[in-house]
Amino acid sequence: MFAELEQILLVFLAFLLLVILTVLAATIYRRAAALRRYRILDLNRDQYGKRFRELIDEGKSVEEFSAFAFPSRSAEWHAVEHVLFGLLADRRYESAGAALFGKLGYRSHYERKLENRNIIVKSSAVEKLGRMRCEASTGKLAPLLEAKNAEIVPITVRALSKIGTLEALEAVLVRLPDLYSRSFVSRKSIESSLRNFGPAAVSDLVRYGDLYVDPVSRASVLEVLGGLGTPEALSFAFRNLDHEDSEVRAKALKVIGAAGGGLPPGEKERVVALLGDPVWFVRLQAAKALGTLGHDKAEPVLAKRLLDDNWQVRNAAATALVKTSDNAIGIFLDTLGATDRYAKESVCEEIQKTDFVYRLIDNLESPGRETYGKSREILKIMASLGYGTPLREYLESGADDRIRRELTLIVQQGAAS
Amino acid sequence: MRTIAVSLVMGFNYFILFYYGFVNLIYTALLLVSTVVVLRYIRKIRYSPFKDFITSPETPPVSILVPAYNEERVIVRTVRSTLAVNYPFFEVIVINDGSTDATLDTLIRTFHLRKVDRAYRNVLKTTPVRGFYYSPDVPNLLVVDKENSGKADSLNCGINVSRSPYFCTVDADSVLEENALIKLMTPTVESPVPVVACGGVIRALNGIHMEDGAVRSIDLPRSSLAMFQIVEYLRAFLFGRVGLDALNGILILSGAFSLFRKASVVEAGGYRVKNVTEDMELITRLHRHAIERKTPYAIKFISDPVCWTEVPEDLKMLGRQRRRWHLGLMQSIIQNRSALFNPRYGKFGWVVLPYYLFIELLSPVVEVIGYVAVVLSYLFGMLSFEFMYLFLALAVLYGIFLSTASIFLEEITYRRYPRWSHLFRLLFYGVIENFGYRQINSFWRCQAFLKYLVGMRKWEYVEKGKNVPAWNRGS
Repeated sequence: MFAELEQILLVFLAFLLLVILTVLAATIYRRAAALRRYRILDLNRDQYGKRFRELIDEGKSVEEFSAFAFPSRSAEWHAVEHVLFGLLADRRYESAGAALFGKLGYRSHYERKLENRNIIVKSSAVEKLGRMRCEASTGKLAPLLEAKNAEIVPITVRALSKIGTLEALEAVLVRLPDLYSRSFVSRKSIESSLRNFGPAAVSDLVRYGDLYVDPVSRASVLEVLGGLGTPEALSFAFRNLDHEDSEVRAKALKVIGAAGGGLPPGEKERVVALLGDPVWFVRLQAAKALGTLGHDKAEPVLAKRLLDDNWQVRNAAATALVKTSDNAIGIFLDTLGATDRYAKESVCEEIQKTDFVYRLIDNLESPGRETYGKSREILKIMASLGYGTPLREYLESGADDRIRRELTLIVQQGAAS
Repeated sequence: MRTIAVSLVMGFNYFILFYYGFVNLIYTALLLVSTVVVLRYIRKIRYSPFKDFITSPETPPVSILVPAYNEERVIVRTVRSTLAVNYPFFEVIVINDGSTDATLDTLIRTFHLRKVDRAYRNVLKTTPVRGFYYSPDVPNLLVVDKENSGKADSLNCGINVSRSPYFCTVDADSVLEENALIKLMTPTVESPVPVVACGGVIRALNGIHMEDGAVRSIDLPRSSLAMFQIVEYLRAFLFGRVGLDALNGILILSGAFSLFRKASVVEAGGYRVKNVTEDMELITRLHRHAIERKTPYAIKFISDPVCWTEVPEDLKMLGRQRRRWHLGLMQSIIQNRSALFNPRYGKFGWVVLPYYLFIELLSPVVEVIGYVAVVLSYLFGMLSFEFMYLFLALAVLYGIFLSTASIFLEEITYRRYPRWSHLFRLLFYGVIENFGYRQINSFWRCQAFLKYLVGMRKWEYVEKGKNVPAWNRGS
């Protein structure tokens, strides 16, 4: 039995040795082949890059480039493709680059690859057509959004967004609920792509947004509109403030916060009302929106939100007050009188983060007794809660002696309490 | 008595033969799976949207957590490299874990930091925070100074301070490639299934030239020990983890460079401070947590984003590191033994945990006992030298095959080591690591086993970066 085992081992050893030698040889060969390939590619790229630019500058028509139509897979074909992508990135040669992709057969080559059964080949072709900005390929790419494959769908969405035409946008929007329901593409992927269409897409986004029944698609459209920050989306956003889905309400507030400059007070009231929403991220977006819009009547409601259960809402409310309210000192003082330590700390942190603390320090030489008194009281509470670093910094390097005397007392009192 | 002993030794010899055959079969399967996966990935990367995500406002913000204990020599270089990553919204949080050297002072001096007051929400309980340091000049850098309590506690502290939905852990002696973070985030953003953790590749920083926080040129170190580790890392990251990832069966994502979904980690209770390899323990718990709650999840490993890290260049430190890793593996498996072969946990309980137990954890023990069995066989006069040499040759050749196959995989994919001399040195060390280096590794791992049995389960401090020249420190 041992003899047989030894025979088997010997055969296996010989086989293993052969495999190792093959792997070693393959590694070395691969290195040499890759170096040669890249050397040729670099050479061709330099040569064709210069030549193409010269010919375009000489005013040659696209037809006169037919000498550069090389067989696919050849080194020259790849080099010309690199050069054309380079032209596409250069505004001066952009249109010539796009036209040459069609003329030299790249578009038809990659369109043929769309029929390939191999997903990687197909995906690669989709991506190339998108990067080439082949408007004529939109009709061939759009049906791929219905593919039952998690790899091909996101790439197609992205390719269409790079083509950037309204036809391409429509192809995505018309299928959006279906794309989400089939879960072949993540929301982030779609939203990033939709944003690529830019402000020209707003009217279509609004039109389709109104048609969507499912809250996911509607929220997604609102998210994109929020990113684009355009006033044309405001009426759509306001129509969605009362939507039953909390995410839709939050995203609508984001659109209003991003786009709404001079809104009439009646509409701001609707935003203020959402500070009382039962869902925290709706309250958060309402506070953020009011930080941009500014509204006198929002102050007492924002003050209440300084004691919100959620810290993000507390922070947003504090920031909104610092940015928009003339009465922020009084509101902060009232809040710092509250019992909740977390709430007090949040307010102190916001006062520091927004540099409001320096306004308070300056107020220590204010002639107005009320401003002086309230500022002093806030600084004292801050020092007692361990938020006294800006005060100590002023004591070390501040210019005004009167303020420094005041701060010395405040820090001492804060430490004692 | 002698008959029983002879039978035992004989039986054990057969066990080793079959065990060895089984382990190598698994490794070969992993290698085949990895080759297919890596080759597919390398073709897919051509149309990866990571460049679009670099400028997209939809890319989720990330907090990069850098726990640091006595890292004055390298901390500036690390912080500069993390600040230089291509990513739209990120903050770097350095957690100074009560360093006794000048780590904190170096950071304050270099980045002109000043003390600020911040509310600290102790959601994951940690030791007290002593202060926060910030500079308006570098608004996305925050340094947290806390009392010493170890890496896991520091990471929990970083999670408490972080304000982003994702966090990425980076060791204080590591350097990120500029697109590493975005490449790690891209599959996370694209995945329709929630990705709770995602890890990238670790490579040895030794020999690399840096400039302004970025890798300027790649070279190989002179130290043989570092060279062995480079080959070892290639093997571990290019075929071991890639193969396991195909099964969603990753248990080890290096703490030196991993991305986590914060909500999932907080829900699972954060890092456990008592484990010596907190990263592995957390990943295991994230698996269990998701399976128990029946929520769809993925834990991914991506073979492209690279983090360069210092590897020890002396045997003492390397030994400490390897003992700690193996001890951590043992702790994690023992803590999760209830999931082992438990139908409730599906392939996690039936494939993943058994793989780590029988192959990763027990193989060094079997190997060392095998050497003992050889001696006993000799003493009982039952040793066939011819057979022994053949078996030894097979073991060594198979090791060489795995190493050279990994280098081949590197060559056909990422080719990070550009020169011919690099390739030949890698191949050379891929061969000679099987004569001594592999055996000493098994010895350290066995030591960890014994240490666990006698209750010595403390973190062994590994000093790295001793060989970092001043011009490569980034300060």
